Amino acid sequence: MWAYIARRLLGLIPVLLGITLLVFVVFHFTQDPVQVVLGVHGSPAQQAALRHDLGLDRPVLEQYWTFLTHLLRGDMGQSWMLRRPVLPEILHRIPHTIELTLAAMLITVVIGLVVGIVSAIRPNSVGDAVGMVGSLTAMSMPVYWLGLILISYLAARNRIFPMNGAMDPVLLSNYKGNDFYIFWSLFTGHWTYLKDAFWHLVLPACTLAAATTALLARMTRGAMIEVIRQDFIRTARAKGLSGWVTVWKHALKNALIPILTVIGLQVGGLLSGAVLTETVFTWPGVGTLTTTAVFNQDLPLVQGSVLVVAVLFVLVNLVVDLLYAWVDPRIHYS
Amino acid sequence: MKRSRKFGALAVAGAMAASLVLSGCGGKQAESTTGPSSTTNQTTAPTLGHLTFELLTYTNPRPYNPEGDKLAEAIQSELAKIGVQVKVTPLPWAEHKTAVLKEGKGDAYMFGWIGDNGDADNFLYVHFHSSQFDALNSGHYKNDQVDKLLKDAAQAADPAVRAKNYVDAQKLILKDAPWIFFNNTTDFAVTSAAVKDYQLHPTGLVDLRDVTLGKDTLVYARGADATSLDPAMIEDGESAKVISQIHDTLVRYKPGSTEVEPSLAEKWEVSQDGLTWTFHLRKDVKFSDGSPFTSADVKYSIGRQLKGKASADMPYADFSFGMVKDIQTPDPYTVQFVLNEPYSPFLANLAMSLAAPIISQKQHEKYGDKEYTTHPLGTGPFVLKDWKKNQQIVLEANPNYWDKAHMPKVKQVIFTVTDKNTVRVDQVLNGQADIADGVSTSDIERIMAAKDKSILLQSPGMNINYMAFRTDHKPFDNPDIRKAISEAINREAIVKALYQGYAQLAKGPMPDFIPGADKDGQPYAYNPDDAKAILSKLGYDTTPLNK
Repeated sequence: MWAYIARRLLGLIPVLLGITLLVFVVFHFTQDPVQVVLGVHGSPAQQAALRHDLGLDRPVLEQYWTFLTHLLRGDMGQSWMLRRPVLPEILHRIPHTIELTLAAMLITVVIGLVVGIVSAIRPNSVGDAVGMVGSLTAMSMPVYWLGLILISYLAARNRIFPMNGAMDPVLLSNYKGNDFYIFWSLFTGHWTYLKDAFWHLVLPACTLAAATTALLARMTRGAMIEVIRQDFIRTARAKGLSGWVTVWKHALKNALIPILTVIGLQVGGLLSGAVLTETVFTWPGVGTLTTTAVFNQDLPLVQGSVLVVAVLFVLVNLVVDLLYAWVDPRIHYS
Repeated sequence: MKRSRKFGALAVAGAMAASLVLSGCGGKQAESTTGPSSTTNQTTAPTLGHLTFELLTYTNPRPYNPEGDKLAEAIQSELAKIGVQVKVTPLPWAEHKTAVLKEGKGDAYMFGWIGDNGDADNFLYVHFHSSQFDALNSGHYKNDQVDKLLKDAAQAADPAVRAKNYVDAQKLILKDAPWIFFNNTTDFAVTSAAVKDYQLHPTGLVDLRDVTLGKDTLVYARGADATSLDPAMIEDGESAKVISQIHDTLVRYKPGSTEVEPSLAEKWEVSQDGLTWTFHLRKDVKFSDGSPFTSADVKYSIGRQLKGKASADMPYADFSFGMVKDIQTPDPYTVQFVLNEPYSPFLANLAMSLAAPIISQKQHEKYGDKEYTTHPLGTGPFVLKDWKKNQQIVLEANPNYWDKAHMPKVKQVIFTVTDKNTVRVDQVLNGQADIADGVSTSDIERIMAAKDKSILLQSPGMNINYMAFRTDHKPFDNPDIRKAISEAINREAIVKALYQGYAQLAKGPMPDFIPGADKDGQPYAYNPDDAKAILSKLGYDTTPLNK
């Protein structure tokens, strides 16, 4: 098991190398970042000096090599746009992305499973039809569009939720906790902050969760119908077990492997969806940071955020793989 | 500005060559226009066929032209009516800029300008002086009289003399028609109905000192976060908005105009030779931490941006202070700037919220370039309390503020970040923000409809949207053809249709709130018949094109 984890972690290295190389190459063909930093008034001499400062006058391969060696020392370089080190910038944003992704995950699992199971118990019933049509609709809606619709109806016109951000500006100006707004206020008992932060989280989390919830509901339905038709379920029923016990204890556990796979894959979907969702809601996470960095052609910042998200993605998938072994004792990692 | 001066010698040589070419062409043109053959041709068969030219345009929206390439298309269809065939070449802005400025492509191009310091020089010299061929005067416009007027105006210290020169230069420019002058767009902002005593400034300067709104905290929603709070390190308006709350400048813009008035300096004078500018500082000014403000801080703030000292990432160092040779401080309340050559727009540079705001020497020496941005210390009406990156910047009123007549009325200002223009408007309408700037024209009707909740503010923008002719080669080396094209385009109708009344028809190369603007400027009026007459006289076919 430990050897397996070590192997998986080693497997991260080529993945990260590939990602950094890709970002590097793409950026090499875009506009000159010096223009972005200096704007219209940089003199040619100043531009040359800045290009030299940023190492842009050296061969690409050499730049890439410098980046890699620095990365090994935990140094992701300086943001061109913000003129500050990249890593702390990202570390301040990650808690927000984690809270948003976790909330979306929670919605996905709870609603996705419930809708899937209810649909599976009575296939082709009215409830099933509503669930499946609803999930198809949710899956087809682009995150960006859904987010704007929710803002427009539930925040702008009906003022049920705040329009964007992670906390009310006036509250936030007195907030003394860390970047995990929800967790911090929950564990330290600051209910005013918790309520406000939670209220800010609802719309982005629902937006982000829509597509994954729908997919999970459909997968769960399929997997459950498959299992429910099998002999051991009939046996369980014949033993006199109630419908719900059969479903929860026997059917669900057997249907869980494919469901878990989907959940694992959806985490990737959530992380990439988070970039769009965060941008729509001006959520202060890595997603918004990445978008801003791309627009400003801030290579170190893009590079850093993409790397961090990639690491998160690989780690989550590793956890999911390990969960397989826990759910299904027949699976062993060695 | 400085960059362009550097090319001075080279450009003069270039200009001489260009004028030779021009006069050569002019001569030929004169022959063909006065020759008897062309007059007979205009009624029978035109000799030259349809006038055809290539017009470069950018495709994306720009602040002075939110409709992108639609303007070029409008020009195209307008000119088709008099038989002029326009080949429109659309490119994304970055590539368009290279094609126009570096590669000299096309016969004419769409372009625009957003002013930096609100000085007429920053609109006229950069676009119409013949030393600027390698920069923004890419159409190679040259008129010796205009050259002299602009050069003299840049060197004269007396504002009245300068203004007269600029007005005279504009009249000549309008006659020569090197551009078609379209519009100056309007800037919009919205405030909640409770907000009093707030107005927009054409330079984008935000003055919150007198604002009241019936509560202690003002929430100001804008599109992006500041990148830095160090005035020397910025080139974006969002940073400048916050920096100008924390810091002051030696002189400041008057409300609604780019004329300057005293601020940290109570008066100033220029030496006879125009080289030494002496500023007398107020003696009652303290930094927000209570430490005294002296000439040493001024010397330090600007000195770090002078040639040889400035680091490569100080975007406005060269533009604002490239002409400064030395700074002297004869006493704690006197500062002298010694310039390389007489250059009056220098005064306007000192009013900008980029580069010019005065920082505390002590504070900057303590924190250095890297840390000052999060520990700014100035003499301004507000003080930085907290900065949550990409979320909000919290400022508190400065109890030590020197301008007692304008002590800040609110206790706290929060600058929030919301990148979508529409959402910012909703925030104000819903009471989640008190002021929102960067309002899109598509939201204006909504704001007007909610009069009980909000107030729409507007100000003419410091910009110009134009089409430029390449005046150094055919066909637009002939001023008559430029005039004909200008007359053939119904600017008023186009500006009205494209921008729905949210832009002002331009009276010339710069907006009229700039000192020296020709307020009575009259570019060639819409007159398609005259345009046709000119073109057919020159031998062009003016039967309308089908397209």
